[in-house]
Amino acid sequence: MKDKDPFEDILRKGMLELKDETFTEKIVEQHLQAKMQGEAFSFRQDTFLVSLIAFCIVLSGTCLVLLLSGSHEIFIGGENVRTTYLILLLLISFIAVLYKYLLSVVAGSKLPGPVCYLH
Amino acid sequence: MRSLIDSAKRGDRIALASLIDSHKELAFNVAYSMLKNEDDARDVTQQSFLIVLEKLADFRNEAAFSTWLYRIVYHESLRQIKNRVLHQHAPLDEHMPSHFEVGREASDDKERIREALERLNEHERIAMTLFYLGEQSVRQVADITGFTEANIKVLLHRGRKQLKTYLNLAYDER
Repeated sequence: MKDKDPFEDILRKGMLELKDETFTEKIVEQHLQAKMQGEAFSFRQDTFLVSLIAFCIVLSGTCLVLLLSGSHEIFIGGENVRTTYLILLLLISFIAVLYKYLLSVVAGSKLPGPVCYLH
Repeated sequence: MRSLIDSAKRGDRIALASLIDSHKELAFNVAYSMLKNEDDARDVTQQSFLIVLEKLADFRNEAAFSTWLYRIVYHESLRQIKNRVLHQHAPLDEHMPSHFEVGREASDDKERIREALERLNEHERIAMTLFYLGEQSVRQVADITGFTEANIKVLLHRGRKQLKTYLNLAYDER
């Protein structure tokens, strides 16, 4: 605990007042709004990633069944689609999942956190 | 303070407001001591609080909340000063309100003190503000500003000496 110093009183006398009555309210509003937007964005991103992963799993299962049964084509939406295309689609989806995941990890780690101010 | 921070982390509106209210005046004065312009100081204080609240969930009480806040205010003020230089804004002294002009007779105590503070150099002023108004220890002031503790002690010594001279105080320096 510091001893009482006369300079403390002097500096307190010279303190400026923050002349903005809505200052606190504005910050709280901005913060809560940004938080809601962030959560909504994060939810959309997560939903997209989960959908992509689910699509990959279904596609993998289909390809596996086709390969095991020895079929080279599958009847989808009134047309025969070659298994090779399905495997290609699976590869592209897998790369998309990986890219999306890495992107979210990198974006998360680049955010300036309190650590950069604490250390 | 810890329970207030925990409530604020959960997004409690009252806790957030209390947290801001209990620190805003000092944070504003810290920013002003560097920027010497009320509008800029208010903007920097606002920005600093937004950063603090955004990162509050990651705050693990490793440092005092006020020290963390002042460090952010300090760095945001530095960023603002850099922006001024980059955008070829007017030099700092031109932002000073006219009533701080040297040689003007101060009308009351508060103005006299502010005028004296304005005459200190930036580093002395920020060290004095953080030490006396922000109630930070020498070590904490060093942590915030990046200076060594010895530097801070020298800055405080010079600041006190100069303030004493400017204000023509009778008491002895500690």
